[in-house]
Amino acid sequence: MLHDAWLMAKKDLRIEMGSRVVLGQVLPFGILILILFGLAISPNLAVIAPNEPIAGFADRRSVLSQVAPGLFWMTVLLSSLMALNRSFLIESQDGNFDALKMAGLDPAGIFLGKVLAVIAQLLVLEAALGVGAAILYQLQLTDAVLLATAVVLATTAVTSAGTLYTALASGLQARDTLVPLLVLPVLAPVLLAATLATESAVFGPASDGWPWVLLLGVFTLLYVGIGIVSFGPIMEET
Amino acid sequence: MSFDPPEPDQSPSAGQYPKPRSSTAAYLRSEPDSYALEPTSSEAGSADNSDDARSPDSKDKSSVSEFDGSGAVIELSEAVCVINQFPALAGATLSIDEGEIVLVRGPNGAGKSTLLRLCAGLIPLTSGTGNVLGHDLSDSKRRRLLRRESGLLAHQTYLYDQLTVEENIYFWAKANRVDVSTVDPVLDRLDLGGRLRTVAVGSLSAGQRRRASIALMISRRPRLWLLDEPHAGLDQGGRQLMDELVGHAIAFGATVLLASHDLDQATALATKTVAVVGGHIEEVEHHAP
Repeated sequence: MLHDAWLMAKKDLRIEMGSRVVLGQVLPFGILILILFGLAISPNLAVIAPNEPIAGFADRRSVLSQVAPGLFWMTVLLSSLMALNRSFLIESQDGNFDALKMAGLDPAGIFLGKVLAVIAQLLVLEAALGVGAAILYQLQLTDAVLLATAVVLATTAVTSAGTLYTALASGLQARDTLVPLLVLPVLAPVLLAATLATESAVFGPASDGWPWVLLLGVFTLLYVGIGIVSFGPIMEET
Repeated sequence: MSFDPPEPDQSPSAGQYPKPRSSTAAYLRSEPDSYALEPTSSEAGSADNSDDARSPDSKDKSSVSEFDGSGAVIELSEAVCVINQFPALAGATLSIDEGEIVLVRGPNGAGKSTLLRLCAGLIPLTSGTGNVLGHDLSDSKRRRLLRRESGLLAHQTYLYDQLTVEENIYFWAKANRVDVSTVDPVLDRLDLGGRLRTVAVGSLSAGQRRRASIALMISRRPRLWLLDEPHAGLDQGGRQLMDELVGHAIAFGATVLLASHDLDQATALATKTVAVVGGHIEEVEHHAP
């Protein structure tokens, strides 16, 4: 299983290095969303604080800062849908799923390989988006270990569940529209836990964030386990 | 572990594998040798190199070949395959012995490709009975084992456009647990050596992509060749080469089932022709050797 996972991950990463879709298209998409979130939230600040005669620029920045962890993870979620879609597009564009079946690769290995490759791409994406969010939303980190743990676990959970549902929908014509409908509700708890853990890592206290990290760990194990067990039957149906 | 080309010090000795030919023409004149066409059977395990030793499922690979050569390689009886609620095969009965080259002809949508995919173990049998290379097609586990022993040349190339020819072939060699150093002669034979090795598949012509797809299939050394329009997209030299490869495969004990609309070329190759119409096999015609 691990041999197959490593083989698949290397292949997917080599394809990404050659095509640079995540860096060239998904990353700009994510940065654009961060900017648009900032623009969309700013006008509402006067409504939020109507008694303030003039809402200062500093106030607006503080409101943005408060919601920044949630905006960051929403951006990651939306960007991950594109990365996941891309991950399966390369398998379906010339019938390569059939060739994977013919090769007799372990389905669990294929699943883990795809997950590993997307995780690697998303971690690079998140690093860039994190820098962008820190600059745009005026964030300062207080606990790097908490943030790093939350990011790795949440990314693994998002990728595992996303890979599973993208594979499930990959044989359908309505795949592009169906995948977000399937994946986003499943990832709601991950979004909540990742946002609250990130809030603690940014604003403190860090001790408030670790229970959410624990919850992320549970969801990560759950999604990875379900993926390993069910990817074989899903592949047979696609 | 990678699907990179083997390092120079990992190259096989001259006596172990055939030397790369300087040209395809020279290779075409050569006698069939053991470079890659010999189907995997009892020697399946020997194909692994140390870098690529099989993980837990290696046992499955070595235990795949249970077909002992006696009886029919393909035995279908009233086989029905329903795909998206449509009976693509509607009661096909067919028997093919080892070493035969069988042409499947029929109009578009008759069920030729479905027949090949069924024999590759890629689609389940809805009803009827089927046995290919000793594997019961109604058993999903046996179908998965059958896939490793059969090679399907389909309309799709099974190649990644973003990877080079070499990267594609090495990836699939690794995925199929084939010794990567044995695929170099295959690339040379398919005229994909030299500069084409490092060209991205997406930049190749349709004919070159087809050759790469053929290289991918024969590097697996299948016991059953399932060819869907094998001459499509190939130039005259490629068509002749395809015929020679089929001949070599037969010489090494493989069995070939090919679907084609190019009846002149395919009939000359075949030992038997079957006609598929509306999901049924309606006619079987034997050719003089």
